[in-house]
Amino acid sequence: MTKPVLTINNLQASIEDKEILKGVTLEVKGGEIHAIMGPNGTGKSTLSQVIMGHPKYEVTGGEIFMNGEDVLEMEVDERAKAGLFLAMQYPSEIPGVTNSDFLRMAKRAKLTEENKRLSISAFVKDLNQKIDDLKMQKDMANRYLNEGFSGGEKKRNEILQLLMLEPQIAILDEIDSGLDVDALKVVGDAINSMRKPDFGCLIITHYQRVLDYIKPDFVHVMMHGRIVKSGDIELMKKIDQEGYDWIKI
Amino acid sequence: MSQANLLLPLAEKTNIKDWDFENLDLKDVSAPSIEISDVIPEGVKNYIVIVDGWVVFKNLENGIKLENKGIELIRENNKLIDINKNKKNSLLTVTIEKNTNLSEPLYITYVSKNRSLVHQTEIILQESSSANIVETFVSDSKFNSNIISKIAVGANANLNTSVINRLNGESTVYYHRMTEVAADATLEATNFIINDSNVVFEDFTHLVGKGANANVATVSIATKEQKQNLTIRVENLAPFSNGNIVNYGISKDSAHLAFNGIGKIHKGMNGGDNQQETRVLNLSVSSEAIANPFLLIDEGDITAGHAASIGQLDEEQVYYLMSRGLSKQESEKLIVSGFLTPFANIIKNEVLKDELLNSIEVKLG
Repeated sequence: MTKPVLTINNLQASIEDKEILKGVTLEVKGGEIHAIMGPNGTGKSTLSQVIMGHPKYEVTGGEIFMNGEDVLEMEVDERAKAGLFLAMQYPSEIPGVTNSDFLRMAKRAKLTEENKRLSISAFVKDLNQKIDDLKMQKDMANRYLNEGFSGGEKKRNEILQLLMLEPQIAILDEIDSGLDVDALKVVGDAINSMRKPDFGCLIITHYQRVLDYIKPDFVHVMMHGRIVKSGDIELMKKIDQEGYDWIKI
Repeated sequence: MSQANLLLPLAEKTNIKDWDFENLDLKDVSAPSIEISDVIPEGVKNYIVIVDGWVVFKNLENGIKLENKGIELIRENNKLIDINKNKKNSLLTVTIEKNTNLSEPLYITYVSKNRSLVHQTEIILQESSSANIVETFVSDSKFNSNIISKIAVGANANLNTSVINRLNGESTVYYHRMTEVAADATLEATNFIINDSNVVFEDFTHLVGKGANANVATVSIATKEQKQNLTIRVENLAPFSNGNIVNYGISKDSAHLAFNGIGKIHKGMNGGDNQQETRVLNLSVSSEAIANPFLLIDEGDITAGHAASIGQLDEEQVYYLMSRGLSKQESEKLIVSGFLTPFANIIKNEVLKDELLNSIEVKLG
């Protein structure tokens, strides 16, 4: 299998005519873990939503490719089928739809035309195993999707979906918010277990906390709608000690 | 009162003035041929199939009688009830005899094939009987329908009744039901108004005996240019009677859907309870969904309550589901089936549960 690659070139995007992204360029390949750090309100979450195709944002320039295919031409579901996944900062609640039914539909949606069959028993076994791995409550499969979940449960549920749907490139938007240290470790272990050449990951965070558990290969600093500095884990350490003020735009 | 003075049904919140209720095709027709497998689910033991007014199939266990005794229950009168009285071309009376407990559900299917269905059903449950009756109205023609149903649930009797309205085609339907529930009797009614017609649906229940109970649950899915007006009314006319109304509705495209829920507790009917809940979900910018609850109370020593909500399709939910690979249509259907889950949970009959899921598939597919 060829390594997946997500390519972002000079991406510009706005919301209600307010420009948020002012030319973001980034490439995430299979086997790599990238972290984007930066203060609040610099466009980190916007970047993740624009990659996934949130209807609220308007792309005003630049391009996004997934394995060479034009992502900006795709509907949101086509982006998922192309191998993208976004673990959301604020996942929606869907009352009346169980986690298990939803995941089965999502899993089936990703199967190719030739391979439409999904073994229910294998699915249930797999789901229960992953619920266990994430140290989630046993009844999680039968609860309504995110409804009444605590902040931490929602975040773990995003990771559960990530594990079940096995995307090629995953974006984790502020996955550490609402997680205590134990939960953070569980989530970190889960992401680390996915590390392989056909999986790439982009972690968006404004604390370095989560990066104690998932070691990024590349660290980027985003400010004022642009990636202003890129480096390795040393960059993260410097930010941890000195904050963002030393970075000149 | 002469016919000329009679008015259309109230149908609050919907303008039905120009609907063509009176455009009825009443020509004589012979009994049409039809395959029983098309109208009665496999394995059903008690059934009656009426096509264009002709009873074409029936199979009934002991204790069910098709007698034309007639019951006078209709307290209401209006122009459309009057039309039904004078022009009906189809009539069925079902009596469940005293102390009979039907072992199997009774399926009654009415088919409008070559002419309008102007029908009247009478269902009488005699004292201490119990029955589960599923009535289905089917049409794929453009003929308009006018249907009246009178139900008497005798003392200590127990009726579980479901109406499935599958009158498709671009027709106009008037459906009026009047049910009386006697002392210590229970009515469990489920109405599926899931068709493609313009509908005025009235389901009026009178709790006339001490300790009578009625639970009336109605679901509607209106799409395209469809207009539906549904009035569900439960009146406590005896002490210690309990009424409960649950309405769920979906409106999509340019459809109009109005639910009028009316709970009424008459003076002197102490110890009663009357509750109602209406939940509607609007899927499109151009569709309309209305919840219009009334609670009319003339007695102090009772409990009563109502809840209503009108929701819009949440774009964030659609986006979330699509981001996991579901198409827009699949996402919408999943949100709707989730919305209807509390309604599905009160349906005890598995066949009807499937019917509801299929309806979502058919109407929103």
